[in-house]
Amino acid sequence: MEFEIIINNYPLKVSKGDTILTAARKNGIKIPVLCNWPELSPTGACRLCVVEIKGTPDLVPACSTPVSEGMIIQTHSLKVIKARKNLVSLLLANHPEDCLYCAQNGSCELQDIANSLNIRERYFTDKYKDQKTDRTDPSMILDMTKCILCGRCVRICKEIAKVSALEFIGRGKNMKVEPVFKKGLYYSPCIHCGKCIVACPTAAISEKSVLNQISEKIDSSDTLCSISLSPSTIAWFSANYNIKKYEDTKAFLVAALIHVGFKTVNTNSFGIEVFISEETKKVQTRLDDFKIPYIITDCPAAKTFIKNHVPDLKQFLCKIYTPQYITGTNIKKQSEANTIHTAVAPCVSLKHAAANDYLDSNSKPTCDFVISSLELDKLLRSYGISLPYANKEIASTFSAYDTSSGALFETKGGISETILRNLFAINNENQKTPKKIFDNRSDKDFMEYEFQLNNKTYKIASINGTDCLLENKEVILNSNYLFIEFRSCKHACISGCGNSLKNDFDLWKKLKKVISDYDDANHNSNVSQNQFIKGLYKENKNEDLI
Amino acid sequence: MTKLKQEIIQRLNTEPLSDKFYGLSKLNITIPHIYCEISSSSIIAGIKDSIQEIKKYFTELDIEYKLFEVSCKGAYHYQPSISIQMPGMNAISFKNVYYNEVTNLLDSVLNNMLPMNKSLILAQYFHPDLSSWSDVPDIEDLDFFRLQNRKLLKYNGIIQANSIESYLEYGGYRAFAKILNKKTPLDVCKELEKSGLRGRGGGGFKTGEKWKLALNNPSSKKYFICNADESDFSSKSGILLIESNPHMLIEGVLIGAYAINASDVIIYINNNHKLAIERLEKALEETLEYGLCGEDIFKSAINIRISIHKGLGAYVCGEETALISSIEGKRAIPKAKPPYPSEVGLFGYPTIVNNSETIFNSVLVFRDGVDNFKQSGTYLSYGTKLYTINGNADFPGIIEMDMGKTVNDILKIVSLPENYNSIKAVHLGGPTGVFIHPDNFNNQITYDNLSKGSLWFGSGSFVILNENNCIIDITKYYLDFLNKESCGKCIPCREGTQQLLEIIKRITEKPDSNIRHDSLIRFKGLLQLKEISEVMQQTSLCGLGKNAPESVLSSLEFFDEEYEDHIFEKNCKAGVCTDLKEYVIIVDACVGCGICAKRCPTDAIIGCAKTSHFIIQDKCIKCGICLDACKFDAIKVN
Amino acid sequence: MEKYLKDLKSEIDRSEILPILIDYQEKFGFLNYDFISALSERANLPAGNIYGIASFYPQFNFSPKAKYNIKLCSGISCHLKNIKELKAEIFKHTKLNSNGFSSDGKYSFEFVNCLGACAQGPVMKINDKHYINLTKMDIIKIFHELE
Ligand SMILES: Cc1cc2nc3c(=O)[nH]c(=O)nc-3n(C[C@H](O)[C@H](O)[C@H](O)COP(=O)(O)O)c2cc1C
Ligand code: FES
Ligand code: FES
Repeated sequence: MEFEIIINNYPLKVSKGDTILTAARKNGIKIPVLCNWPELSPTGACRLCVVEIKGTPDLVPACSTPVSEGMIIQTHSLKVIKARKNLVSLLLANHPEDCLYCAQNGSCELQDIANSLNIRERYFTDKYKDQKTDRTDPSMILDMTKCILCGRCVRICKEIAKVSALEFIGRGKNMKVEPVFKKGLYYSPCIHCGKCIVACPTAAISEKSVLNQISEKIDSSDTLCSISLSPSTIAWFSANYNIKKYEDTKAFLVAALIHVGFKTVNTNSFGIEVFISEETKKVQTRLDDFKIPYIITDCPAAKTFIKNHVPDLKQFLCKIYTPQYITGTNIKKQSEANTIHTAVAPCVSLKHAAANDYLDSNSKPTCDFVISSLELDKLLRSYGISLPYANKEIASTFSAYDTSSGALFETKGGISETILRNLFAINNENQKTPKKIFDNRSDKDFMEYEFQLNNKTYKIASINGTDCLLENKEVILNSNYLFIEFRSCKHACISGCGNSLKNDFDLWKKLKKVISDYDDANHNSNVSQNQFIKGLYKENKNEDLI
Repeated sequence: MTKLKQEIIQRLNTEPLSDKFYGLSKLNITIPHIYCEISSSSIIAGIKDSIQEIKKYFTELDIEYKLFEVSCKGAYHYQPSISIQMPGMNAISFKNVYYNEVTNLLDSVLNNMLPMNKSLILAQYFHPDLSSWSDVPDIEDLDFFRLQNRKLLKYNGIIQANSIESYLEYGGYRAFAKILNKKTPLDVCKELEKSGLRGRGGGGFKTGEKWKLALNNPSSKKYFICNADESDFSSKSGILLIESNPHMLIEGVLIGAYAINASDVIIYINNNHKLAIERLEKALEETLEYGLCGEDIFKSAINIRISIHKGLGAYVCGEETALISSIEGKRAIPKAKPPYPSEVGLFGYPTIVNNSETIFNSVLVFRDGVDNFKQSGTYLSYGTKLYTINGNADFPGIIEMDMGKTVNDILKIVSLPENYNSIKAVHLGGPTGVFIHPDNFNNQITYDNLSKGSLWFGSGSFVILNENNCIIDITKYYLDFLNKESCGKCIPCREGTQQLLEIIKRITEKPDSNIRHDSLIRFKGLLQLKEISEVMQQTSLCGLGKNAPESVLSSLEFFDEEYEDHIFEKNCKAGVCTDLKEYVIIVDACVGCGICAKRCPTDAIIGCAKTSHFIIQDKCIKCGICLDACKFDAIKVN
Repeated sequence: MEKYLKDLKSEIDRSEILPILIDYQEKFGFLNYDFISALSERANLPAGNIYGIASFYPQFNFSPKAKYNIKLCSGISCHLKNIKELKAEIFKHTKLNSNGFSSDGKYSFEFVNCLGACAQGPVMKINDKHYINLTKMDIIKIFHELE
């Protein structure tokens, strides 16, 4: 049902059930928010979205008030703006004044709002919260002095990630966000999916940065530096620097990184493609008997989630390492002992995985450093480099023959898509591989696909999001899927917190576009066509590459 | 069992209420009857010890007697209080009967004589057919009781809280029986609407209207919740009512549940009120046994299950949405309204939350009739209201007054005339209440500001402040309370109370000598107080944040001279804000006797014997002990 | 604790958690993390949720109290009766640290909201015993007895 309301003196048509905030947004009116988050139900905690409604003496939160017929709303009257200004000033009273040194500097929502409200002095003063920074975790830092208690992280961890690693503790002035039982984050049930990093409007939750150490290693004469780029990182650079073609970006980046001082520049596509080949082999063995479920995932967060939170499914989990690990080991195997390998990943879970592999195995680390796409961008900028770069280079040996499967793999449904392509290629070598078997452009969290192979009907499923897994647990256990793809994030790797610190749907769309264009243009779109990997397998007499 | 039920139905429908009421005085008793008033506060005051002493007394002398545990009159200053009726005599009430008074008291009373210690005598319950005690006033003539309008408290001090029979004797469950027999839920709602009863929990919403909303909701499952949280601590009226008459609460919730077609009733009560919980549990057992609640009540095919949910004291838990979250097993965080609980409440079902006092009043409406109910109170605020008198009152306790009375009316009851002039202000309404200046003592206390200047009673807490109290200190006290008790969810409430508190603290503390223009900064603080208050009122999520600045604002409005005093003169007239002062030892006058160092509770004074001592200011808590201790006037206050 | 758990139902509804926590604290004097973890399994909830609920109430403590747990009422009535001096006196006798425990671990101290005897304030409670109409001399006497 539609009816009319008046916002800022203009009559607008709105539909019933909308909140004032959504109605305003649909009509291009920007109301500042700090606690609202698109995937979560409104809580009305920050009160920044307050608006004036004719007839009510108090201000009303736009995010949790539904529109009703005949409302007359002022979203930016003096009264409202004054209230917002005071609210932000109150928040800033105990907020550390270290914006310049802050991880979120420039992308901080609080900074942004304070700036747009023209707050130019510290109006109220208060002691800073005395909370220790939690550095127990190798990949994430909790600096709760910067926390403004909007509750996004708590809600996202509870409602979307279904992990509840973070929780509100205490009440009143003593309220804070903390991992359970006051032990550090490392000892909490956290799966390191990084959703909270994206959700946090300030830098209360952030990734641990290792950029300075990398710069030092590059400069040192004792070490050889190698780097591998994740395909979504390359896509990220394409999208952000407006370079149309994926391959161009790749070549620019390779050249730029060699300029910076890296001896070898590979892409993680290598590891991914090995991963795909291995898993295809595994799926091939299941073609006759696929009664018990088989869950394929490359996502370390997804693996941790199943291991710690859904123990019933643990036995069905694939045993393979992460692509990042595969790339790392192979590079280390083939290079000199003093090689320092850096992986660029779109997600904090890979940072954590690298550190954890190291902690677990006690051996030399496979990836000495893991940085995010955003960090790589910073690194390049610190060397004065921006894309497009003057030169282009071909990537080093491991990645010179990349197929587009590697990139496709990192999008939603990518695991299924690439494995199926490979499976088809292996089984009916004559038949041309059908493109886009699996509609990975669909936006559903739970997707099924049915297909014929060797006159038999098979079904696979793709599950995106930890909450989706829990919802469909019974389905997984009861229906016979050839395999199940699972990732912890709804929009797969490209939406990782290493790519953007916001819920940036537009960016993800762009990344998807870059990758699918690349895939369309590239006819090498099947793993089995990667000559280098074929060669490696031959060399290793078809033994596993990992 | 069924026979018992039949019998009760009969009783409830036929037995008329006796129209004359003589309190504890009863005809036809043959042995001494002792009535001990037991309530949570009288227990602390020592009634249990007195009871033990009484029992010992009687067993030693081997005299037959009967001991009853009755409810508390609500007069804290009389505790521990017992009443005695000797055969043929009026019942007589005694106050402050500590255990060491018991023997003497009984010695005299058992011989039909008044005790030597005349200060123990309170009053007698006058009965025309019994002989009365000479020189003992009738209890109804005591100012403390005469000036009240005790409707809910009528049977306090008389009724036995732990017995359903006692409640039935005084007309209990008749209202519910009448409703069950003759009235549809809609009738009940309409009648309540007509009575004009409004919620006593603070919101002042019309109870009848609220019930009707829920009744009209077609949902198959509904909840009726009694809000007996009372974590406000400065108001204890609801708990006193429950402790004295748990059955009346149960009757009330039964009526409420019937009126909205709810099959589940939850009584939410703070776990700190142990006695109330204990008595409620006992009462529930009895009602179940008598078939007054549970399945198929009196063959009416109506099921009402009543359960008690224990919460832990937190002020926000009183807020209805927070209360609901708490019952659901979540953190007690208020939710945004709308949707109101009457649409989406407990577990998503329509829910009515009522204050316990409201529920007690609803029983009155149906027991005595609408017209009777409307006789007390004023226009749009009918009925009576309980006030908890605290602070520098001469007669602290819980009193019941008609709505629309003035502060002066209450002060007449609880304050001696000679102390009248020293009253500086009254703080009304609990932590989110207001300060009232003596100029406004003649304004009516009612719901919302119906007429200009009328006062709002809030939780009914009534704190009397005199010249020894500092308004700013009390503002700080309440802010600190709210700051701690706020749920912490929304910014204006969490950061606002914190900021208000900081500013007020700054005013009550010694100025930082490093900051020049200190008075100016403090003065700027005053302006900020108003600004923050405005934001909090406009944008807070729940009533706590919206009303938190009331104390600040009212103190700023009426007691601005105290602020000026603190800010510019750095002086607290009441002598409470000791942090404004600085104690120093005058070197020349100090002989080094060391008395002050010995007495200092924080070891803030150092020095060798026979040499001048020194006060470490960081350790000093400004208690003033040293000032009193020094015989040489060597300590001065800056 | 194990016995307590044994007596508990194997499946716990969410709304029963707070009463159970209250009961446990009353029996054992404090909540421990193991109990919360065990409870979370029964209730099929993340331990964090239950910890969040428990920490909402300052009345819950996660470590045992000292042998003598002193509660001084800071309700409005008692506040008006100048409990500052009493507090100073108590601090003097018990030598409390900033965390509310005395250095010998014998005493712990906390402020509580109204203990329920406002007319007889100031009120103090040591373990289960109430002391009313307190003066400084009373406190000296009480601690003398406790020593
Ligand atoms: C901070 C806060 C504390 C409250 N505390 C109580 C309380 O202790 N007891 C109570 O009955 N109502 C309390 N209320 C009011 C309730 O939210 C609610 O309005 C009331 O229970 C409705 O009952 P009534 O209609 O009978 O007044 C409180 C409200 C707020 C905002
Ligand atoms: S966005 Fe509406 S309250 Fe925070
Ligand atoms: S204020 Fe101390 S007992 Fe109530």
